[in-house]
Amino acid sequence: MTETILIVDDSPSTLMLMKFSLEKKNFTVVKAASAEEALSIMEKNFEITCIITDINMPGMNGIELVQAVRNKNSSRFMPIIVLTNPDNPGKRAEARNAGATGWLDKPFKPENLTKVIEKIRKRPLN
Amino acid sequence: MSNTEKIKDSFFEESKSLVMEMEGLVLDLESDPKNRENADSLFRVIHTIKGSSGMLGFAYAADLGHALENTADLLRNKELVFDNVLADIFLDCADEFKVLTENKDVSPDKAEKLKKRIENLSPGVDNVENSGEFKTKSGFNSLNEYRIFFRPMDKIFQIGLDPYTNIEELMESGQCSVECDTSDIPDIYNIDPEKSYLSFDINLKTALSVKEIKDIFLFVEDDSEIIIETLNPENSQKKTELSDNLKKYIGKKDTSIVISTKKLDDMVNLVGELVMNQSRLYKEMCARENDPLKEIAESMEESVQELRASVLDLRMTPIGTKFSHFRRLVRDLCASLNKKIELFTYGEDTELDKSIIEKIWDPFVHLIRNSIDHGIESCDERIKKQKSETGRIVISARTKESMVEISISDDGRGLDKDFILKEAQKRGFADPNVNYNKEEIFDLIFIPGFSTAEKVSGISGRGIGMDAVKRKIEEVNGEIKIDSVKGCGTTVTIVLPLTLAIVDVLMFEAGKMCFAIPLSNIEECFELARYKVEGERNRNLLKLRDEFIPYFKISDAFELPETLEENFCQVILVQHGNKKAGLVAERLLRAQQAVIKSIRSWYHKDDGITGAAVLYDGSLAYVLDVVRLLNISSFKNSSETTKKPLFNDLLMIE
Repeated sequence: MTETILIVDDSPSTLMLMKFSLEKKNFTVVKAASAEEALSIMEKNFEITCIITDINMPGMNGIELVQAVRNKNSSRFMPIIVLTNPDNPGKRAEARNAGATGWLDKPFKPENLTKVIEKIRKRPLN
Repeated sequence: MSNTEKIKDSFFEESKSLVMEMEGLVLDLESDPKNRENADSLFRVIHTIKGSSGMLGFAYAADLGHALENTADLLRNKELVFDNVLADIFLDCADEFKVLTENKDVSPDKAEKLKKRIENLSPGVDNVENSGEFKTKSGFNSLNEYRIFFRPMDKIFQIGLDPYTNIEELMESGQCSVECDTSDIPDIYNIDPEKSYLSFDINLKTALSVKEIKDIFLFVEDDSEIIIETLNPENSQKKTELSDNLKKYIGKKDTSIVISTKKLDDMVNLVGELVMNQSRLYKEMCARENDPLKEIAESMEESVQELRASVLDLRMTPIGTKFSHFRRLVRDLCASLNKKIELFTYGEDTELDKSIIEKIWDPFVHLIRNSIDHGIESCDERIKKQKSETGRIVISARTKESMVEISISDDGRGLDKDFILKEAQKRGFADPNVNYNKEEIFDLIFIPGFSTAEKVSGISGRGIGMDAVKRKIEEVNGEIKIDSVKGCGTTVTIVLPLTLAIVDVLMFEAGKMCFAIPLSNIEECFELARYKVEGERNRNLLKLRDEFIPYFKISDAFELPETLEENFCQVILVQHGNKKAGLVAERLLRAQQAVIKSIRSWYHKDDGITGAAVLYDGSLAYVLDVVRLLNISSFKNSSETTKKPLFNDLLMIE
């Protein structure tokens, strides 16, 4: 069973890069260009098990997206990774307070992306 | 003192503590052979011994040190496994190094013999310096053992994490055992199902470094409690990850130096004198107005008081430094008696005046020898009694009010109180008509010449021990008690004052002289009408709350003229152990702290005076030896009525 990951970023090139490296690791990837789009996708797609989102986006930003996801009963415990800027550590704490699960500093290497996913992915108890 | 002598002096002090440290490390390694850090320290210590003895021209010691250093190097590189044979060699070498402290070199033939033993142990040790380097750099990644404590933050699920992920990752990284503590889970009515109440104790054998383990906890570490302890640190870099406690311990060790007690005493005396002179100066200056020197005297006063406090604090030594000796003692005696004994020590950081520690050292060794020799049974006997084959001795120290309590317990055969009583009666040490309680029976053991040891061994048991032990402990105003259950074990408890140098005393006047009694000995004080003290009857007992207490006048005891002007006199009830007596004084002055100086060299010791107290204003007061006075009072009371009638009344109060 492959897992579905929702990636949210206003930069198409970042989205492409993420999609490419995640698909290489056999994840199913759903793209969203804005937080608003991400929320509407989540209304319809119930396969999503994890979200990766940028913080700085026009319109609704990443932190607001985290809050919105946490406020929905269906996604209260969904792991969310925020993409942070290492020069602005304050954002990381802000995202954490909003309920983000983890973070990844931009720019990142593809292997770090999969490592982080591995870290937060829910595992079935055996 | 010339410079060379000074260097030698410091070398002696240094080698003393180095040899002690070496012994401790060897014993540590014996119980935990894989402890890399101890092996490192052992190497360092031996290296230092070798280096400094070589510099001072002790060639054989340096030579022996060199051979030993190579062995220690093999140890820390894990090319040799620490075992009993190795421990014996190291300890024997440590014994040889002890002569260094007496300005002697190790004897050549002994050094040669030990070197032979070392060579037999590991052929080609001398080539190691070249090959060892190669081996350590081979990059072999061995397993490290960690203990990890992990308590996830309670809202861990609410940010989308699952602690099971972290634990599973740990489990995948090596050999792992996890214990889950569920005790924090509230009852079903109060439980919040969205919260985590668990904590985990994880033991992990893995090739991962501490940093890699920390990475596993990357997203939880900010809010959760995670403690990672390295059980066998692989290299010095990892020392930085050691628990804070250990760090503190290491830091402490590195900053301590050894000073001889005499130097300390000299310093305390000097500071005492400085305090006296300062008080005089201060008094003088207080009387003057508008003198610029007055301000200086005031600030001097403050510094002097601080200096005095910190000098007195210098004398306080953690008793743990002495405990390490006991481990050697236990090990050696066990070997010669063919017994198995484990030693546990608690409260190593309990501080006690250095001079007290030194004075009780011999009695202490004696008590522990007793426990090993007489207390703990042989392995066979223990198995027969269905006890564990290995005996236990527990030494613990703790501070209790202004005293330090040290207890030595063993789980050996214990004392047979009926046998002791019978034996004591048979030999006339106990009155057959008196009913003794348990405590009193065990007290009989302290009577000079009384020993119940059925077998005299080379170690102890000639009956010259326990009375000497008690006397020594009383010399420092301490107390000793024995409690025991037959077949289960014995506990000896020693209570000691924190310090001898400075004592809280009660000042009082008798016969125009000033006396002081340590407050710790005083039970209570009360007034008595003069005529009641001076009544002429046969006995010198007063009745206080249904208890008869012997009493005597201080002025009589020291043959001083009585100068009482009022109609009341003061009775000070003193106590030591279970003995009590009333001392009759003329006037109580005040309670205060006093620096006590010995006057024994010229004053007869048996007269009931332990020393002179130097008071803040520079004057002197005699400090009474309460133990001695109590013995005199009970002695006079029981038999000797023919002597000068110091005490001659029966008093009723209430």
